[in-house]
Amino acid sequence: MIDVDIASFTYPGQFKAALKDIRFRITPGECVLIAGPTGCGKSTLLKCLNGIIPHASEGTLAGTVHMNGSDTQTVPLARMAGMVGMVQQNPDDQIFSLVVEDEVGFGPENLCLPVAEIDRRIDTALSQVGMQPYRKHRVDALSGGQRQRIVIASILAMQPAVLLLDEPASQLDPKGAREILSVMARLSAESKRAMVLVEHRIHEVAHLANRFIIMDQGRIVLDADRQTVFQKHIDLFHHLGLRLPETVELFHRLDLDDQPLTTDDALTALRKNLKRKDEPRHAAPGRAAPDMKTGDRPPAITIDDLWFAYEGQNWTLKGVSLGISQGEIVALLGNNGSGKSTLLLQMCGILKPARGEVSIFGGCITHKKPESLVGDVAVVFQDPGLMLCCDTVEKETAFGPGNLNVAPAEIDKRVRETLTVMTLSDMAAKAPQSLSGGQRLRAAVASVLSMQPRIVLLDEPTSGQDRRNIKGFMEHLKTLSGEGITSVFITHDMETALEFAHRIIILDHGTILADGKPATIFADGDTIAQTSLKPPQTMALCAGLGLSPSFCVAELADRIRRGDGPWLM
Amino acid sequence: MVDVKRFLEPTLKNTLVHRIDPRTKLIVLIMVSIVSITIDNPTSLVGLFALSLIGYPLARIPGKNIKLLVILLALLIWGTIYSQALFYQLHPRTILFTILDENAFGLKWEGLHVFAEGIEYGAVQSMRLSTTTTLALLVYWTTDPSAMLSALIALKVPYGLAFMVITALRFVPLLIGEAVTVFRAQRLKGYAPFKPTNGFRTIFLALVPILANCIRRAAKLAVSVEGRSFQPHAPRTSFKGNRLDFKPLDKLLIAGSFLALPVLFGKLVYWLYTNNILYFSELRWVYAFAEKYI
Repeated sequence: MIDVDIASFTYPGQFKAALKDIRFRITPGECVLIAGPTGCGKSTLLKCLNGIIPHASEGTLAGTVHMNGSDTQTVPLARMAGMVGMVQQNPDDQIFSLVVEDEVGFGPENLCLPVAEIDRRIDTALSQVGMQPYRKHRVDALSGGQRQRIVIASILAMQPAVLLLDEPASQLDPKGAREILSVMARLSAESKRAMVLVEHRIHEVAHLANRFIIMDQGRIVLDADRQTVFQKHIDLFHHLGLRLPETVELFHRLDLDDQPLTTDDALTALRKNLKRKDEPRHAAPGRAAPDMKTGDRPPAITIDDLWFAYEGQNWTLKGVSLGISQGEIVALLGNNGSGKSTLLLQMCGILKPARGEVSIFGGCITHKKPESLVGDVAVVFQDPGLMLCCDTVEKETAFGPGNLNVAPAEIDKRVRETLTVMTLSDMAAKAPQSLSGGQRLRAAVASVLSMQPRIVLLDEPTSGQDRRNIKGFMEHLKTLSGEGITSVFITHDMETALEFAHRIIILDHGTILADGKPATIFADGDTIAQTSLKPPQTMALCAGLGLSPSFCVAELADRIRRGDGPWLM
Repeated sequence: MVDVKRFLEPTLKNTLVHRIDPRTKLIVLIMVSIVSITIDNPTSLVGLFALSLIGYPLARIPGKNIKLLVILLALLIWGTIYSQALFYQLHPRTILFTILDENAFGLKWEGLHVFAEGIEYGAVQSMRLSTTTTLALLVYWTTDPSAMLSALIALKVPYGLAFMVITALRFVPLLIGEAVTVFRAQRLKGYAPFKPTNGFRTIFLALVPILANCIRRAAKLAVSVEGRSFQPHAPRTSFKGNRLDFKPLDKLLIAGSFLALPVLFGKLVYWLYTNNILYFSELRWVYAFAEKYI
């Protein structure tokens, strides 16, 4: 079906090849997961598979890609559509029409199919993604997950033999991500077509793939079936900073042969492999994961009975009250529309409450301009590219302190230090907009940290980042926390929230549904059940084994080995 | 806070205006724009502007969109009249009142005055701009982007340009949202984007991230569209029937819009006459008409 034989591909103006010695074959019914660290060439490879390279992207391609026997270099891009369809990350970048049926019918219309056939294909494709009832709806009235399902339906309506999915759930909230994963599972089970999936969140999609292709620096470093990968190559995942399903990681650490992918399978296998103690003692609490006595520290942010509504809409925030201490790292969780971003914008004075009060370091900011908080409060927005407006990374980092009239010598010092901390020193002369997604995020963070704020607010800093980037970034927040700098970040990444936040706040329809230590929050099944949040597997395993919560796999494995709780190895 | 993005999505209704062929809408828009540039007579311009408003009740444009239109027009009319009133350079000009006299700040200079002719000239210019803006927004709010793309291609607009226009229109709501974020980010870095002295710097600083994002997004949209077999000049079926279909109303509107040609002709011969280049006594009625109405 797909036969790839690429000696090299090099982008214009680059000396280093983006792809080198890529050779593999994919057959119908296979679901292949392509993974690797940021910049390893995954997306470039996908572009080769659907013909964007060489048809719509410049560069030098040495080699061939055959799709159903046709060389993609000789088949026009528009004719490739019947063979291969691609779903990209953000649904808003792909949707062209205003109405669902127009969008799904767009491709079949281009194929000049008879009207009855187009109509049938629209129905079938919408049914495949569970969106048939929305056929006549406006696209912009749908949620992010529903819009991405429409994108998938519009590709399925073309009936391609190969479906390429480039991180289709990375821009979605937990509810949307869950919808997309469920659609992917259904499509994968059909086994009619080949599916090629690029995803950072390997732990969430591993069960869908029967084959893994792992890439690094433009080369394939591993191509094997799932079982072999998890049996023999886990060290490669660690080496490349890739995320494993926590159940697989746990069994690897415990030297157990099974590779369960779901929590239920893992619990069954653990109960089979572990011995229950005769006299179960009370489970010892988990090792001190990130924890701090917030009462000991002075307040950084205080919010009292905050109400807010956008003009002509219902209340977005309804009586929110909370206090955040200096040095705390707080994760804000919740679905789209729960009020997370609105709350963040209230904390920096961009939005003003309709009722209630927001105070920063004890001073009410309700009637202050956001500019008056510069230097104290910094914000990194969801799309870091929108924060980068200067010619070079160095100028970008100096932009904020310059506006604050900091002395030139001091600016130079701050720029040097910040770029070093954010590992951007060797990119100081580069244009920020030319950097990769992860690098743009680091540049945006550098541009606000150089102002030496005492509170850092971040809107989804983990979105679209690989594990290595996330970890490096969050470790830096921890360092800042030690210096008394408060961080509040919005995320959909439960594992990151659990591992790095001192405290988690879950928002739901404008109110605080839960607020507490990560372990306490995820241990409260009733609260979690009210949201679409999925607790990390480690937490679910602890609950299933009757252990107090652990924050990460390594800790849980240690506790099981030590015989903490009612089980012995 | 107003969510501007919501006002900038096209409306989807089955009204008379929505059903008009997008090619007709574009032709009418072009012709009306030409006429509005040609005409100097304030009364005629007001009449043309009033005509451009007729489509709004017929298209049942929502109140929130009308509100946005009113705000836009108010800013446009005020801005144009205000700037022309202050900086009108042609002669003769009559000072209505003085803001700063010739000796202000101890300098010998012209001073800052409001000129009567400037107000009149600004009003004419603002009516021209308002007419085009009003009609362009009506076309945008009542046309599906994919139908508009087909219309532009059918009108022989080069595919690259047509796709760029549609992409820009499609992304207007997103661009507005992104511009808001860009300005917010700048304010939180201590920069005052709306300070008058920062005018050009602000434009540059805002354009860099917005354009970079726009280019990235346009490339993705192009891949999405071409990846679904879209080819600019290839035939395609439409399961909802041909959206490019000249109906009797379209023909009537296009015929009506060609009234622009006599207006252009009248203006041309009147200009030739007033500049002592060409005069035909047989055309005296045209000169009289042009003087009074054009």
